Amino acid sequence: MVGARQRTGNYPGVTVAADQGRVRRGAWVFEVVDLPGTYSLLSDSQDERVVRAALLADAFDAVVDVTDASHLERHLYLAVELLELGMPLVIALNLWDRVSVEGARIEVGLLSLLLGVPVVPTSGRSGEGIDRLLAAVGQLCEKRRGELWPLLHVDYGREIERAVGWLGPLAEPCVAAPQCTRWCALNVLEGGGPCLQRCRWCRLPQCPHLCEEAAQSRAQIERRSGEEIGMTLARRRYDYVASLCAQVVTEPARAEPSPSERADRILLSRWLGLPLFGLIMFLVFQLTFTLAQPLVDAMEAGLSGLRRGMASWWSAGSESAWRSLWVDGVLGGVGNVAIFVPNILLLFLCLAVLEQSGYMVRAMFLLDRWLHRLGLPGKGFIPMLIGFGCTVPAMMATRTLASREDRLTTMLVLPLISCSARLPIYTLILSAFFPLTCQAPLLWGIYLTGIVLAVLGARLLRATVFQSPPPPFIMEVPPYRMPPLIELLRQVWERTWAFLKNAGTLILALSVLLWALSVWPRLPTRQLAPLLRERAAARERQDLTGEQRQQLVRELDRTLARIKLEHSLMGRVGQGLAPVFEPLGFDGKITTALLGAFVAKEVLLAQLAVVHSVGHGAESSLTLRESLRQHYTPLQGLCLILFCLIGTPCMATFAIFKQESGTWKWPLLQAAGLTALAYGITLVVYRLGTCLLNL
Amino acid sequence: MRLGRAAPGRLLELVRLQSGLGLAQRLAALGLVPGARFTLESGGRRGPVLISFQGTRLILGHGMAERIMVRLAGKDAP
Repeated sequence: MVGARQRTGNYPGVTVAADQGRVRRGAWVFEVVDLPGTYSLLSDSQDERVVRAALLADAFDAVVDVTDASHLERHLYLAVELLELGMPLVIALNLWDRVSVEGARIEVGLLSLLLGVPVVPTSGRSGEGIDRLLAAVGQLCEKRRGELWPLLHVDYGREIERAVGWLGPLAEPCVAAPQCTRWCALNVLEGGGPCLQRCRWCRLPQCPHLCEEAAQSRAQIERRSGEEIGMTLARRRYDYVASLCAQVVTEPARAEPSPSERADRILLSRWLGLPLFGLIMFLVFQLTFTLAQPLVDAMEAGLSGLRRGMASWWSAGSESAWRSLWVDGVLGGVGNVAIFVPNILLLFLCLAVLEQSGYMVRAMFLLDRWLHRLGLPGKGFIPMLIGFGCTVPAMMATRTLASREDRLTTMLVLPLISCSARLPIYTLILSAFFPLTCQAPLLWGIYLTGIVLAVLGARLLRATVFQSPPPPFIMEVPPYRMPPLIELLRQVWERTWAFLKNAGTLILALSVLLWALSVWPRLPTRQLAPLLRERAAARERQDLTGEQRQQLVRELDRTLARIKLEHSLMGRVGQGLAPVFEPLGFDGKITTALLGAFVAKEVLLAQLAVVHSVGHGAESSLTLRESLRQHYTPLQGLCLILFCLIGTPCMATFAIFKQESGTWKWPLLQAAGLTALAYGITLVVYRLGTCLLNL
Repeated sequence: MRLGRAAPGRLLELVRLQSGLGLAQRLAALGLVPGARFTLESGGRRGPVLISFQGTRLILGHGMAERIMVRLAGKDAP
């Protein structure tokens, strides 16, 4: 209605909080609040609590119940509940196009007459009927303003009606609006859930008498009928809906299974289901990371061109603080944000296609059985898989999980899955210390360690912090459909923009902060001047060939970078922390490099190169490798890998976790917890390793 | 028998719900009340189930399927 169409179904990307928008039609301006989809008001899942609280706490001028017209019987139940509560309702018969395709017929006028509310056929996809719907809402708001709403009376059978008739007058003093009396009486009779949350007019705690009476009636009725009264009420309500549908809906005779059912015989089959899912996930991964690579490369090239261009505003070799701020701080930070955009765009495109085509629900069905045992929800697999590429989009992919507990559990353990930025660290260190034959098994071992720790972590969190039982899992399986392109693109753009706006700004700010830490305080002139003079002299030396001269200048540049870093706050903190990390076999140089790795994991190598005064990059990683081999033992190398695998997540992960969880608490706890875990595990490995090697 | 243990492809009738109020109401809102008939399409054995009911297909979690008592119905009835 507001143009920003929400996704359908009570699964992926569910409206986490109520979305709001504004729409203008003629003389009317509507404030529209979009609530999560739900089948009923009274059961107790998270979605339903949100809807109930919103509907009963706020005074709306009108409530639009968007139903699936192709499954009217299932969707009118909520409308009946809303009408029993006296909500000013307009029913939208959505997916109207599908009804005609399937050959069904719905008597819209009759339905409207029977329920006493406007009913408007719509198609969210083509936008058909939206204008009529808004007009109906506008008219309703004008006509009924300030009036009491006629209530819908569902006949609950002789006994319940008698009890309600008797409890009604008792309930009257407890409710602020008379139309709530019946609802309130039914509610106390049912006895489920705190009533205050259900009705803004109800002041039940003042009526203990009513509750006692209701409890007695309930016991009597349940004894006679042999079933819970809530069940009887729901059944009667459903019977009412069924009788309504019998009058207004003409279903076509269906003999053949639908195309979706036929497709599912293969896609959900016992033997082919999982391999096909694996194939689809492989494609998603390839698309997200392999296809994005040229885009990432192009972006990096563009940015480094920009940096060079900006650097040329100052004289070559200038030590200006502004130059460093703009070129290394700000543009470097922009690079740190931009680098994620291609991956996020493509990932969200894949996720949107999976969601909207209807496959996501089925994937969950296939996986739930296996992941359930690991303490993870069925859809937790997708973020985990994405996590092997990059933790940032992976955290965003947890939006497909329904419950907050599931999301937090998954996000908390996600950094344990080795992202692609860590791979160069592993390979460089492994190749520095271990023979070629050992490298592949060790690399597998590192990845596996991460996965095992993630699974154990998820189980532990589930058993301790997030103990709530998994929400009852009911899901409608939609027919497969072709995802509409414009909606896909809009969704992808919205999510990417949200990333840039929220996490992006935080990443930029942290980048600049970390840059400042690594350059401040600046080297005093009396220390800097001789080094610069030496470099200038080296440039002028005539006794060397051009290449030798360049090499000398490069070496002097590296020394300068090392001295600057050692002098900076980051270098000093690194040195200061060295005693803390000494038991893990890390010296001040490694500690400084680890601090720098908070910017991004791959920065670790660059920092290591700086603190060791060696070159870094494709042509010179050999020298870093040699330098590492000279300074450290294989055990220290392995410990460094372990610490990178488990330890503090990078700042982009931190920022995105802050965005996705909406609080600072969880990202801070995660950073602290993972660092402590990394410290503990690395300590044990290093000490045990040292003992074993000394034997 | 429990829905979670039934064989796929059969027409089943819901007999009883072994559960608290919340679940019963949630199912009843979908029309899944004692006496309702549906086909078990696939699943079971420690996993979720997929049922086909009045033109809609629904996935029910394993925990839920274990608490729904069913019997064979129609031509599948013993």
